Amino acid sequence: MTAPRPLVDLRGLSRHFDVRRGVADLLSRRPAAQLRAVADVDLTIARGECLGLIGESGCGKSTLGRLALRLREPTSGSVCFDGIDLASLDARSLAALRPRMQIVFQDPYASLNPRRNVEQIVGLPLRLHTQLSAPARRVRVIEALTWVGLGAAHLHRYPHQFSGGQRQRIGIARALVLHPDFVVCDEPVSALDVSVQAQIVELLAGLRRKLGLAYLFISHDIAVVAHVSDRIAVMYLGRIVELGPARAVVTAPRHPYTQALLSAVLEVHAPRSTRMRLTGEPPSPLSPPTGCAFHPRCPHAQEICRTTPPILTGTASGHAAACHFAGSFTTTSARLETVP
Amino acid sequence: MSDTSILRIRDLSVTFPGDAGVVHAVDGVDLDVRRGECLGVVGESGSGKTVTFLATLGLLAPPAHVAASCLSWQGTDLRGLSQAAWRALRGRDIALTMQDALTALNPALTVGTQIIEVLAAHGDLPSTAARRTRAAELLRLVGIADPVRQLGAYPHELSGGMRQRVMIAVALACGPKLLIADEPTTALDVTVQAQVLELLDSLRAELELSLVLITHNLGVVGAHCNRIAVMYAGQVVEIGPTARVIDRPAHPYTAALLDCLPRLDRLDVTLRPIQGSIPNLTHLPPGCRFAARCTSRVAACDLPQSMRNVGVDHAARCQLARVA
Repeated sequence: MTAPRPLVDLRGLSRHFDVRRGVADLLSRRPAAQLRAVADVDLTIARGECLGLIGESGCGKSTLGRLALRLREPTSGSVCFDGIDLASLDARSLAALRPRMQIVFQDPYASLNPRRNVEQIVGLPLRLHTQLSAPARRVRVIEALTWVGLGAAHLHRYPHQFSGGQRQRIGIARALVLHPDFVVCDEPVSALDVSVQAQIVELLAGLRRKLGLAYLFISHDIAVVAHVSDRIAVMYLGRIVELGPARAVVTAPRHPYTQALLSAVLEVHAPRSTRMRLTGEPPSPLSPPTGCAFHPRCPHAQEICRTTPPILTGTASGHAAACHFAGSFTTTSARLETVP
Repeated sequence: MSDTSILRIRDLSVTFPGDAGVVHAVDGVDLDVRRGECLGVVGESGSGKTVTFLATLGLLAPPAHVAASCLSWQGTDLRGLSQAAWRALRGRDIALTMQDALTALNPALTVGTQIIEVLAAHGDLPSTAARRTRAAELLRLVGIADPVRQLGAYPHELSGGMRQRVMIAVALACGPKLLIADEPTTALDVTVQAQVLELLDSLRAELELSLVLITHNLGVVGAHCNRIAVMYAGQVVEIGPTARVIDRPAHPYTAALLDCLPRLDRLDVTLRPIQGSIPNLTHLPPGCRFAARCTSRVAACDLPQSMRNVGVDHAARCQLARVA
């Protein structure tokens, strides 16, 4: 059986950053430090699929999103988009592929140019990537604005005249105006109030169905991710530690880190007593722990966890975890069972 | 009931002059904070939750205009208090942690200096050495490892969760009776949020604190507060015991807010966003402020609404609310 070719195929993807050395470091001949933001990630996203990516701040999820679009060059590994290796492309061929892959940014205040009106902001990708005339561009801009619940009346307004939720709609229209196949949504609702967040989440879900989009949906909010995603990947210190169907990951997490993330979710309806405590904060990616990077915070850690890095291994249902003891401790969150 | 309230706010209104007219940021708010309780104040941006408490603590300067029929702290009238009297009260009896631990700490001063500053201004500790010891104790109290060394740390050397802990340590320096925490978890990762909230819980028990948690996150109040006050467009629209407000919301806005939340136990349920947006605080409708977005709206909603009792200790500003 051959699976259909994925739209986005990330293989062995890593990205290291060199940490700048100060004078003191140079004088003391301290070796250059490297930050491994993304380490050896394999992920695929099918056409029309939404892959959710969650993790705490600094775990490398935004870097991974940018690598997937080749907005950053990987240190090693490959990114294939619709079967084309992005690394093999020169600037011109890459530019020709750009309309098919777009991004929505987290901060709707910082990501829109305050000196440009909506028509200019949403129309810019068309000016860069198409030969369309100004009237034809306007038609496309209005089409994209209609998709996001805005319209021709907003063309000549400036970002400051809009609320946070409306700005995010403008950012989404800009990403969709070129009719992409794949959109990286980088924390698209984190900066918004809950009522507005629900509007944008439902908008993105509806647009995906309507336009057949594939999303890489990056968020630190597992509840939001679970609502929009087909599959969820959990990232910790640059590595994918769990990957599987959204429902399975949320209801029967196999990695203790995912269990801890789920326990930490502050749900109004959840009883407090069933929480699994996670002490401490994520270790520095500059000096990740040996073995399993999660072992210093893991309640189940054994000797092997301190020495040997676990490999992401799956079950037949496509639910994988990078844990030496995946599935051997309570995998069903008690909290989820207690809720009617 | 009323004798247990340590902070009492009645008919508080705050207005700001704006370009297009007067902005009614807070309008007719009644709130009590009871001894030893944790009161959650929930609302979206612009609902007036922060301004309510800044006004109560006398922290709003002209052109803001503050009016109230009663503002009292343990029987002391806070209206027209002198600056000297305010200084004796704030920090010592009532403490406030500001939103955003990143910007609320002074980046040019060490953590220790910022705690010792409060102790020197209010405390009864005579010597520098004693203040330093107390500062280290405070850091230990808020769960910072190696507190003596961390006294010398600058805010940029600490993570977001650590900074929030330092802010709490600064606020607790003089042993306040009431801590008002404004969005204490907003910029933090979920795992760290849970830690900070558990810290606040344990401090409340240990130090017999009363706590006000101002937040836009219903999850925070659901798990940690005894009572919830829901604010909308400058008014309290519902107040009551946490479990009741969440299980049987009496105001349609509260119910709608709960429906917006993605729930892990209901993955198949699509979120039901609240349509429309909050009213302009310059041109508020005379009737219910939520009416334009409300799915239960009737003609009488265009008349001004007052709080109605819907159960023990539970009230809502909606004429459709019934005793349940």
